[in-house]
Amino acid sequence: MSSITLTNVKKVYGEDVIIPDLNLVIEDGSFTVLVGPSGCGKSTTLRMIAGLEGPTSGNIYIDDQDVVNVAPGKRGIAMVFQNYALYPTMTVKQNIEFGLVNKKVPKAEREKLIKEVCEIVGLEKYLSRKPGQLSGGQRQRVALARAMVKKPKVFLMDEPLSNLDAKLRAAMRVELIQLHKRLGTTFIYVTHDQVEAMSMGDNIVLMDKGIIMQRSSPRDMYNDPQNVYTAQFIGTPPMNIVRDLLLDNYSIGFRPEKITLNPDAGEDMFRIKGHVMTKEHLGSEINYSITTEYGLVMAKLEQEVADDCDVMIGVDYANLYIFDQNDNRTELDANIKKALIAVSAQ
Amino acid sequence: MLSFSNVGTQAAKPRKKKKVKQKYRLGEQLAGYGLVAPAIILLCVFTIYPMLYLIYSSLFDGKLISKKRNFVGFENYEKLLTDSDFLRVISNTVVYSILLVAFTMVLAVLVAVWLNSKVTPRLNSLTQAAIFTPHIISLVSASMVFMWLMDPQIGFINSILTKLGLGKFPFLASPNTALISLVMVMVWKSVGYYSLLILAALQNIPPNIYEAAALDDTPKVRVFFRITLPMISPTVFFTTIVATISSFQVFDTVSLMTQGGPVNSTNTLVYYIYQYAFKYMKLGPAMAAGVILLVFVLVLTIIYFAFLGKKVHYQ
Repeated sequence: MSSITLTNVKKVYGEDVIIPDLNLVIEDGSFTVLVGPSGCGKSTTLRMIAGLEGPTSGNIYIDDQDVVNVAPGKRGIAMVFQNYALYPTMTVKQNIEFGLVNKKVPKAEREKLIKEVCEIVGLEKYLSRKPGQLSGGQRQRVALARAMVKKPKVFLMDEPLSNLDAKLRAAMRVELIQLHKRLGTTFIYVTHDQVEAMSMGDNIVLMDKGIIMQRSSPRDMYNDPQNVYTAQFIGTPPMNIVRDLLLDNYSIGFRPEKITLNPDAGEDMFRIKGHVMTKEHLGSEINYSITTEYGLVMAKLEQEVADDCDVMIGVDYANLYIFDQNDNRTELDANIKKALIAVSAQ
Repeated sequence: MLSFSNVGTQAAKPRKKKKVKQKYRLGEQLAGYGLVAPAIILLCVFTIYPMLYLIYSSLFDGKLISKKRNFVGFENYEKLLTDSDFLRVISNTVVYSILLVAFTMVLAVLVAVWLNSKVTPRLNSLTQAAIFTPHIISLVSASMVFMWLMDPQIGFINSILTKLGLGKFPFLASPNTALISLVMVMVWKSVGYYSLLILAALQNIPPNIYEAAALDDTPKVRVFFRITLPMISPTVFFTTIVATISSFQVFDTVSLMTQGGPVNSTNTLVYYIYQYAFKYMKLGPAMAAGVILLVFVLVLTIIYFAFLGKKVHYQ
């Protein structure tokens, strides 16, 4: 039962400003994902919440308590690290038990808690092994068990799945979502992988250079990007942005999967002429890269057209996103629509 | 036609190939032996042969320069093991080693942990340089300086002790304090070197583990004993064995500072061997004592290799 509030948090390393001024409220019980490219400040934010690093200025609250001067071990949080950070000289059981012994939990209760947690993550058979004798996935489970056994108010996870292979990562993703539902605790999850962010979080915070670019649900992140950065970060391939087409440095965006190639003449669509350069078959879909007079456009469609041919790219006006000169989203109003119809190819 | 000739060549080929391969292998083998030969020859001439000769001649009586020798069997060993002087020498050596290694390792670990903590970065780097200096100073000069410092009458340390009203410490002059004085000098000389080795081990511990410990609300003392010490234990163990072996072979400090005295209180195994071989010219007992030293070192080495297999490996 804990919310986390960051107010005017600033973090500076030497002369580098990592986070200029961060304000963020993470609701109790949410699965919040901090996502962004490396160096965007997401890990630093997480480590400041954990207490492993202090903010240069600003306040961090867990519930209503200011925790800036509270030691990491006294904040009621648990953290899972990217490389797990297990104690290599201790067995799995000792690893899980370590925090409980520090809190002077009686032995009988410790045994009960360890048994409970190990059943959830499936570690019963490995309790007497050392981390060096476990596979990556098993180490990951030990790290999770060690966090869970403390019954923390908040779980912090710093790229916990990035050391696993693709198949195991997908499986652990589902397990973490289930774990969150089961525990109902606040999860804060850091990743650079937009697929992970979209599939796991109920609340995504997209960061760039220490600034929050957008904060919304996965659905809104995709359907309703507030700026060009968000539009291009989410989705593979990223949203097409066509500049120099409208006046006043306005640009338009449309997703590769929302394109129709060679639409019927009668349909009310925005059109650009292009030429198919390459075609990648992905199985269910085909990725086209198409050159136009405004630059390269990507399309991701089931529809198949011939290689190396001229095509007409069509996009419904409803699927167009308009960005202003500062790359922020703006309404597709009547004036802009008129301008679009004027430049649209016939 | 084509197919026929193919059959012929195919049948002949494998035999030819095999021969070539064998020849190549023999050449490769010879090259291998050739490459290790210099090392093997040096090892045999300067280590294996002297070792066997040592054991062989410990069974004889005789002087260093005389050619005439009598076979006496284990008489040299019997004499040594019933000689109270020799038993004193053994106990001196063991006490010296234990004290030296214990003080050195405990101090080295503590110094290394402090150097690694970087609480006072400037002082730390200064200390790191300063503490290594004794290791590169010649032992002869260091011994001279310490003999002056430790002089019971005019020594610097005693003059300070007297000024503080603590009375004089006899150091090398008394049989009760001579051995511990030697230990002090050697601790001073070797702490820097070993703490540097341990510092390297400390710096190899992933910082994440300490962060995990902080999140587990671990008290500092427990972090040291449950995380730091186990993580550096392979290095501590290795350095302990190396330090023990070298302390068993102590000669120069004894020879320079006390010549085994007063009253045999600092006479150690290697100095004893030196005395018998080159002062009293009695080769037999010296050789037998040499074999006993060999056994001590051998046992330590076996312990080291037995434990080496149990070293922790992670990721």
